[in-house]
Amino acid sequence: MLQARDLTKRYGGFLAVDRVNFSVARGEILGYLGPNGSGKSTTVNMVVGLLDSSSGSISLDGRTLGEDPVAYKRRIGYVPEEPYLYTQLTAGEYLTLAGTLRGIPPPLLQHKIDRLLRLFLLHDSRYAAMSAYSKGMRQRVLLAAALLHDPDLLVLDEPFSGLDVTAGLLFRALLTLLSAQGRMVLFSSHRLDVVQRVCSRVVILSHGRVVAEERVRGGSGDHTVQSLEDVFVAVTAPEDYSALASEIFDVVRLA
Amino acid sequence: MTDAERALTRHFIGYFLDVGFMTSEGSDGVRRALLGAMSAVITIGLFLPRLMGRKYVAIREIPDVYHAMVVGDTLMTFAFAMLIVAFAAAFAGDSMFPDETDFRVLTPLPVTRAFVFSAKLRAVAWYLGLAIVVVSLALQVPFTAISGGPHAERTWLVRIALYSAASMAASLFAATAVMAVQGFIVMCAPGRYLRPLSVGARTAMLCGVVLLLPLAGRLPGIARGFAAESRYLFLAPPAWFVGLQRVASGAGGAYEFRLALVAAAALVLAISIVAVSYVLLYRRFDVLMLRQSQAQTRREPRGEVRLKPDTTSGMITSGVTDQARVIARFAVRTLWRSPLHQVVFLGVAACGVGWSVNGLLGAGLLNWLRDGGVPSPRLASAATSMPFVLLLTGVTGLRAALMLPQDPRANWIFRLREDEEHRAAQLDAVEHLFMRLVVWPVLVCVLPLQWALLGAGALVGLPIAYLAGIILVELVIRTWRRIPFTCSYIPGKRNVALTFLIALTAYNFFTTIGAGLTALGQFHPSRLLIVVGILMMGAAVLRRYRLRSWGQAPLMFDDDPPESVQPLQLL
Repeated sequence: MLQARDLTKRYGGFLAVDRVNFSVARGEILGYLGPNGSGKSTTVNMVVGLLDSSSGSISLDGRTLGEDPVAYKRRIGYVPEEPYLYTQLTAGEYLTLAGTLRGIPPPLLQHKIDRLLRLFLLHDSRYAAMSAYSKGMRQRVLLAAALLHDPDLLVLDEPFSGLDVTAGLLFRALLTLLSAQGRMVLFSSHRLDVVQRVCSRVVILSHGRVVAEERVRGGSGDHTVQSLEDVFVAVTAPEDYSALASEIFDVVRLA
Repeated sequence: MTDAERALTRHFIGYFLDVGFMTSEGSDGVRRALLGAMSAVITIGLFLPRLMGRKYVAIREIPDVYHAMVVGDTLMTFAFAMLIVAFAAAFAGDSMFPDETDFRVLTPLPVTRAFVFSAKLRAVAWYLGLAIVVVSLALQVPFTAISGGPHAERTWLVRIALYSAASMAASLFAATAVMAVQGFIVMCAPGRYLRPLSVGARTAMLCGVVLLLPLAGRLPGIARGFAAESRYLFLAPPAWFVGLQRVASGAGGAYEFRLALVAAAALVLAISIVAVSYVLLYRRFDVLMLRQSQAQTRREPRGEVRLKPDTTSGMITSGVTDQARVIARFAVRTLWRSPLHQVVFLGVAACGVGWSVNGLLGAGLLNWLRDGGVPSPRLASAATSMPFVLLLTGVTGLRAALMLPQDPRANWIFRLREDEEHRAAQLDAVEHLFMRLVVWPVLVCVLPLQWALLGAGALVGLPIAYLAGIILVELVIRTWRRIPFTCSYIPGKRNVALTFLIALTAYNFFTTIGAGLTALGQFHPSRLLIVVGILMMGAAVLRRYRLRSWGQAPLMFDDDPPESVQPLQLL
């Protein structure tokens, strides 16, 4: 189980994440929602070890991240929001680098890479540098890199951005399969429709604090897409978007 | 070393030679060019015996002359080694330190920070170590072989060892000095200025190296400063290491010992700055790497929508003049922020500056500055031809930079707006860029020097240089069909030797004719009007010829492959 306890991140006087608690059990996909600037990505960065927390702890099956960061990271796969990649490499070269750093034996690694490149429809572009790839292709490379070592915990930060419909459907089916096989998934996204379909539970963040935690499927607290959106708007967005939209339209119409 | 360590080290070495947004073919082209340059250095080293051999045979029996010449040539070979290695270090730039991409890609992987940093250090050591050893040995082994003689201080093998070691120390200093500058910027620059400062320093250092290359060839001329124990040699880093080499050879006195001390202190200081930068970066990796994005996030107050005047809005609502202006602004901002484009433009332009300064120094500029009086005809000639050299290299450099794409997939915004009505206006921006970034700055910068050397004669050269600049620009953009930085680029379409030949011919033709016409106008003022009239006519004809077809053909957003059908351009 992944467990975040009183997770806090402070930048000088600014409190980005304020005593956040959540957990992801084996076989569970936790939706992590929140508007821009709510602290979602900061939390994800702490969970994958990019950022140190100011206080609080993150543990995986009882062992905290601080105890043995390398062992912890060996068990996670991560798909970042922005496709940070060494774009001068080809997809195969990048996966070889990532797999080698994860300690996968070379023959197995090459076999896996070859299969994954075909399955993620990247095989035809295998000789092209990733600088020439579309965002969706880069996202598929990142997903392949995250799954290469069969992680226990998958951390996904906006994984659907740039994916076409078929890749999105494949991605969703894959997530469902991974959770059915007992993997933990932390799924940070703005896409309420996808979260509603994929996740078993959601945590909603606003101004760095958890403002709601709901079950999405099953149980008495079920929510449809509409109701999840209602919950989200109710707990995070006091702003009147109709007024903002009409203001934008006024600017657009300026002659 | 484990497989993982080896893989990451190898990856980092490849990363040093990466040129960012270029296609893989383009990047390969740059890598080949760099390897070619290294090969050229080795070749020059192999030619040293032929170039210097006769000279040393002639003076080997005259001890004073022999020793002075050895010192001078050692100074030159050290300087070349330092400049080449400094260029290699500056080319890699801030990627010799772990950067934000390394942080974001590697930190989530099961590797420690120490693992990443040690791999980066190993890659730096391999990359710079190879450059230092190859360049030093390529220059010093042949040089020590030909500069031997009855008055040589030690046996050949000992001299090879001593000269090579001193040359490597000098090159190491050059490399670490470049790294120290980048390290200082990485550590100290505020987040929002980190990228521009790093890019600016990299460009400045690359241009500085290019500028200094011709001057290094003049160093044998100042070797007598060693005998005179000149204080000015303390300002020349290669001289420090010549002092070190002479002390190690047992040939140095107190003066050389002081130079050697400066060399050792400078080397220790540069290495210390790099080491401190690495240690601080290691300790605060996350804070420093996320500094830039945090600075960008904090620039705008959260939740506040602030509408800024949008530069691209001109494309939607404006008339013809606005089209040219907005594209020129787009090009200038891209040039300002893109390291590769800056290096290409300023690097080629710096070749011209270096060449001109070298010509002025060779013609006795320093003597004239010291003694005053009427400049020699050679000096006046060098000053007269200076604007033409700068115009040619500046226009060539800018043309090359404008042709390289900046994220070609983003060109859809221009493709959407591509139509016959606005095409000519959009292309006008290119002409404005050449005039504002090259022709006018060259004239403004050269005029004070020409005024000091030629007096009122400088005013005669001004209209001629201006008109020559217009003619050159008209020739360069005659068939231009690209919005700057938006068209994909296929490198190496023309044979390199042919390109070199064309450049050489253009240089001789343009500078000889330009300087000749200026001299004609200076010595025969009555003919000045005729010269200016002819040039005006030439510029007008070329301009008219260009404007007839300007913007008629669709703009190019994909470079033509070499085998594709080319228009005959009969119009």
